[in-house]
Amino acid sequence: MSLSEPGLIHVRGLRRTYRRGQVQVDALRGVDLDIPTGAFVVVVGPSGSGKTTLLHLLGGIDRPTEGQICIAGQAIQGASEAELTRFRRDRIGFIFQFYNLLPSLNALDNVILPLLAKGWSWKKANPRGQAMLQQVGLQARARHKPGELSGGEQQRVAIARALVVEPAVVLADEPTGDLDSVTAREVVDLMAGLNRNLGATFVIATHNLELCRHATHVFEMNDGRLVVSTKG
Amino acid sequence: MIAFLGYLFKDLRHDWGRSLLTVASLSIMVISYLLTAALADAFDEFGSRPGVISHNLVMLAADTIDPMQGSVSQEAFDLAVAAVQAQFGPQSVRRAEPTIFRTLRIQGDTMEVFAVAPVGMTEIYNLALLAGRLPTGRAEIAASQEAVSLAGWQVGQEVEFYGQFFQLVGEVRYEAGKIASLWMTYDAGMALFGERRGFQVGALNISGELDPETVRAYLESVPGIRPAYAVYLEHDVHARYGQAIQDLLKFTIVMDILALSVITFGVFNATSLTLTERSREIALLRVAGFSGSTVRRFLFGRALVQTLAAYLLGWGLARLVTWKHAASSFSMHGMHVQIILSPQVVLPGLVLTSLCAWLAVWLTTHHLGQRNLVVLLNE
Repeated sequence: MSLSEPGLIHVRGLRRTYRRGQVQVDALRGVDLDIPTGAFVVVVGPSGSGKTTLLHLLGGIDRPTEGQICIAGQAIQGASEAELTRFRRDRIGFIFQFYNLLPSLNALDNVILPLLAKGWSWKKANPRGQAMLQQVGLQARARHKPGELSGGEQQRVAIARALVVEPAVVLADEPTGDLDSVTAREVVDLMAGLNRNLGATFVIATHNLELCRHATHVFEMNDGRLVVSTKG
Repeated sequence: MIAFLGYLFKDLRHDWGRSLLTVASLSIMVISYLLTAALADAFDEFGSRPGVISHNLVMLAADTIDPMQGSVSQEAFDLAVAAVQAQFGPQSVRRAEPTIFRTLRIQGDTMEVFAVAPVGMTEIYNLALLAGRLPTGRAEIAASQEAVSLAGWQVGQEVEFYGQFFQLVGEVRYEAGKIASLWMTYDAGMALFGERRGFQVGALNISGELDPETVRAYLESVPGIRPAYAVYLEHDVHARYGQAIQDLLKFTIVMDILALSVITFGVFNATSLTLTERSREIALLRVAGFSGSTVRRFLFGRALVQTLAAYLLGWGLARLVTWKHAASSFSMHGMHVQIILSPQVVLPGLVLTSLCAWLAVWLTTHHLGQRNLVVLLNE
């Protein structure tokens, strides 16, 4: 597998240390991993094991203390702020536990936000946004604001937003953590379906073992280290 | 750009309560700024009017704040004329005229009334006739162009003051003073104000070949003049009023700077609050691929829209105040002050207010690019 193949995640010796008051916290203690294009990766582990920190580093919203990250052929550990912004905009889609939709915008406007960041006009972005909402089954709710949507619907909007720019990698941090079990299963199935249909690589940090049944790879983390790596 | 503006207005509409409050509070400071700026502009107009340097000396009672509070005796005035002629030659005094002086409130405006012989009006005070003629009878007056403009009079109409009717027979220009003034004959003044208090100003027009300051200094050293009387150059007396207005001008400029500072702090506060309350949303925009400078432009756009709305509202309310309130047109020491929200007041204010908004947003957000996104997301 070539290092420049889109969607390939290549991580070596990844460490992240930060200070909490006078205490030094080693959130990641040297993680190595390789993820192929189109994989559906589930990262499990107890709270504080470093799952979220790993996702933040892979997504370029945090910087490693040490180590290398190469995503789709682009090394990001030494990238400038502007390069990281472009990297996030063009290559990464994020899904958060608490959806993080903008309350002032309706569902459609939230979905097309990353396209506007790329410089698309509202008019050009709208059909793409509508299509994405259709993919997640929410075309009828396009004009509703987040406050008018259920938790499951909000997370579907967040998934559509993450995928609208056709990113190489979708990073999801506890995407079912705030949902009831039925809705959580629907969201899991939706992500797995989109992974198969669109070919985007998914990396999902979760406590929900239900996700593992769709996983191509399962990584288990503990105390800032990758302790088990299995293929699904 | 349209997408950017669209998002900006949707965001403001969503947060309409806070936006409205911000606009309302900023507009109050905009009103203060515009009114004091208009006042400063009116005062500045007086300060920039060129004063005419005359060869007139005026003799007043010493130690009086207002000339009308004192009087000059005929003996002292005669002594002054004789002393100048003795020192500088018989031709040194071209004309000397006693003048009755009062500051009166006439039809709601403060005006200065001079009663002097008709020949003194032209040969000492250099009145230039703009319309009609100079007064000669006891029931006749002339008014300076400032007085005509202030009171809205027309030559030929009757004017009542001090319990008597006068006919306005002429409009004049008084270069040395540029004040709202009324002129009547000395006899008319005596008849109106009574003979008991005599005259308040002894006016001497000295030869153009002499240095007025040398003559003034000499007169003040003559026994019998000092210590009871003080002698001024005519334009210095008026300059005292001009100085008072210049002092007020400085004060209004300070008030303007304060108003702009409050606008800056208002925008700073509003933006800080937005940053604090919505750090997660701002982080989300960054995560979605908007650059730090784009987010700063968005916050500036937001502040600018609020500031412009506040400016528009403040301008409308300030116009209402100047239109409806009598205090927007008044006189000071016989000088007409009119508060007008002219383009040279409103447009620089708009630019300055926008700059204040930019400064406030820059102060609040210049470190935004360096803030850790993880920290912002977790706030």
